[in-house]
Amino acid sequence: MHSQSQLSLAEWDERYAELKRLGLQEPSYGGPISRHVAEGDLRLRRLKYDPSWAALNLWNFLLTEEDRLRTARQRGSKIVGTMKDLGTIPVMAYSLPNLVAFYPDGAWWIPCVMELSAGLLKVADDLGIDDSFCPVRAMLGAFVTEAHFPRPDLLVCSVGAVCDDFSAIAQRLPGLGHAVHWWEIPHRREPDKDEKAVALPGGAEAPSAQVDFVRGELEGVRTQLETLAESTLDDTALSAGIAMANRIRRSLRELRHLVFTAPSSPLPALELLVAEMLAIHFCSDRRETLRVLQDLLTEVRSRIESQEDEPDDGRIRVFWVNPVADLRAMNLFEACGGRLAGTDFLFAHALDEIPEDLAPLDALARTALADPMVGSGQQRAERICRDAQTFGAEAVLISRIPGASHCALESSLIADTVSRELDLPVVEIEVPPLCDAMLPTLQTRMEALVEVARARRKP
Amino acid sequence: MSRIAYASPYVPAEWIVAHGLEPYRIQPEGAAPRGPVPPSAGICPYMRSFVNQSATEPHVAGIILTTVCDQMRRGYEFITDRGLPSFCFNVPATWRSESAVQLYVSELERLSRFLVSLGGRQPDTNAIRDAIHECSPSPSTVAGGGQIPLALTGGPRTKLDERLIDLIEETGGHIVLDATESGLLGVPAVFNMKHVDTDPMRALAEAYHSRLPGVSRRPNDDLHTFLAAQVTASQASGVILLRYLWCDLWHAEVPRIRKALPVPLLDIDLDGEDPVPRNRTRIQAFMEGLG
Ligand code: SF4
Ligand code: SF4
Repeated sequence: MHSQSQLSLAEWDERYAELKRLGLQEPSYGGPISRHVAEGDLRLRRLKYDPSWAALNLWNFLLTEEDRLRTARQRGSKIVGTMKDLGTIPVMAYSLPNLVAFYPDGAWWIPCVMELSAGLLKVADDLGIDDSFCPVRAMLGAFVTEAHFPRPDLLVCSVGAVCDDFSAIAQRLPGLGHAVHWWEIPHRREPDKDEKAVALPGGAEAPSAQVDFVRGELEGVRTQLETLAESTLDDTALSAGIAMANRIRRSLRELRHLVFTAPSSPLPALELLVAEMLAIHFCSDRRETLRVLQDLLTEVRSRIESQEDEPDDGRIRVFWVNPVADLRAMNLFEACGGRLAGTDFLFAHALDEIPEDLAPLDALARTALADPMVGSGQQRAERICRDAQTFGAEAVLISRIPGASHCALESSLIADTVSRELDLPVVEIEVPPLCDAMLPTLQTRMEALVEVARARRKP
Repeated sequence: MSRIAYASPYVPAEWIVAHGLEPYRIQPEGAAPRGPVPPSAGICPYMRSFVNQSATEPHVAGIILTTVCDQMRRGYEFITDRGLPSFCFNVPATWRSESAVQLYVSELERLSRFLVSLGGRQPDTNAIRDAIHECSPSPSTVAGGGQIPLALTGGPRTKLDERLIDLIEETGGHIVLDATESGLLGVPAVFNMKHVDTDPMRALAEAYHSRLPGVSRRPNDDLHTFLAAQVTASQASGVILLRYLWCDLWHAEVPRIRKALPVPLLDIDLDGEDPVPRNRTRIQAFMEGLG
């Protein structure tokens, strides 16, 4: 069972030294995880890690993105800051050889990872963006301090059917000297009777007119990218970009399937969360993302093979809804006897394969419209139910995000739907960027969920 | 005549009238009645009040909500969940492109089908032109008998929150400009009558979308220019900004608006309860500072 062998940071240092002695071959971004603590990533001291070489690379890859962005700029590449759409625009940007894309939204996790030492929330407070907004307000601080990512050469942001937190905060950026190209993502609605409808990745449907509209918006983004790159982004290049994104998404799909369905959990929840995050924008290096995921897959497959004939690990299979602002909560969850059996970290559409049998912008428009956050909460809840069933979840945990405009309305809707459709126990928790003071409360709620689900196992 | 309830400034009353139906722009009571949306932290009190009231009002044939904020967009689900005839108007946040205008126009067409399904009649150009003349909306009147000229800006307000206007008057204020969504920001731009004759749906889109400044639009710089110009012209010596708790859109704009204005700004958040006890001292102090 993986949790028994999870390592603290100090234990990883010892293991790293041992692996080095044994001749460990590392990628260019390698090194002990603890070196990132010296760079300010203080939260790493409180986490427990998977002990594999593949997981070591996963962490190092994640934590060195800023270096890659700066190197890319030195080499003459242009940097695209893509905001809010989570998964679609990077596929376009990386289809041009001299562009790299990243999500400034990723600053969401900086207050946690740096244990508030970066002062980003204070900067946001000073700009009038207080804790009634979700942790993405750290992004505003990151733009002001310019200490966490290079200044993008182009900023594109989806607006329309997005959360108010993000839309409101992004609107402050032009005033800070960052011009934004806004593109519209309309609220995905149910097709009317007699209206032409098209299928979207992930199982939803949208009116064909909405797909056409989004394709037009993406044409506008394409023009922006071409101007920045000073080259043409034709359909052949886009198709190649989609094919590469799909290789990554397929690897992740297999990884998720194995992790969620193996008799004993072959990868901790924390590492699975990090792996899913890579699919959104490839952590500024598509090839390396694929390699990191494939190494994880190899590790997971071999663990599952070695588990054969072993009994189920007895952990409660839980479907997890929404990302946690404090990564430590994922460790706590497993300490309480849970394991992941499905996730919806707000970007399910970034994990679904992009259709390859359509014109590329049409395919990307469908992918963008498949975003669970641009449709109704009811549709999101229905997909959660489908996935929870597929992965055999025994309970659902909804992790509310402090300040998020969607959580207050959506969480109860998801909870009600899950209870009604699947008759599974549901618990809601709220995880702030540093949850230490709340650990006892969180633990009580997680343990209660696990206990209720365990009691239902008995004949 | 069947009543169609709505609250958003982006819904054209003329379009409802042209269908032979009665536009009913609800100003919610504010002391939120029971209804589908629960009283819970994180929920905009105005949205809750509007949704709960429109869901329980008698004689309402249909309800229109818009996508201008996440809260209203999700509030729509609470109404449909009750099986009430409702329509979610997709108001584009972008507004400078032709595609945004076209999206708004296509939403008018979709709204038309909804209104016809409720017994409305398909309008022709004459009906739209007549409706435009009939509606000619006017901003809410200025109020107060005090000496200090004041302007209001911010989101909409409920009837309960009108008590603040009385308080302002009581403390010596005289409201010379109401640039809130219950006032000027809720009034469409002047119609282009040439377009009314040739392309009435476009005329509606221009008046209600392209040229109506608003906090949810991207970009929304024109809102700041508009407010600065209106406040200067009104000769107000101070501005009170009213916004609801959990309304991120107005909340995030407060520092920008403060910077854009030539006079001091008082930022008041409304929580769905009687606003007077919470805000009496702040408003008094603001007035004293201006007086
Ligand atoms: S966590 Fe929710 S509210 Fe915050 S940026 Fe993401 S989607 Fe928006
Ligand atoms: S006050 Fe703000 S949050 Fe509330 S309904 Fe209006 S725009 Fe939405």
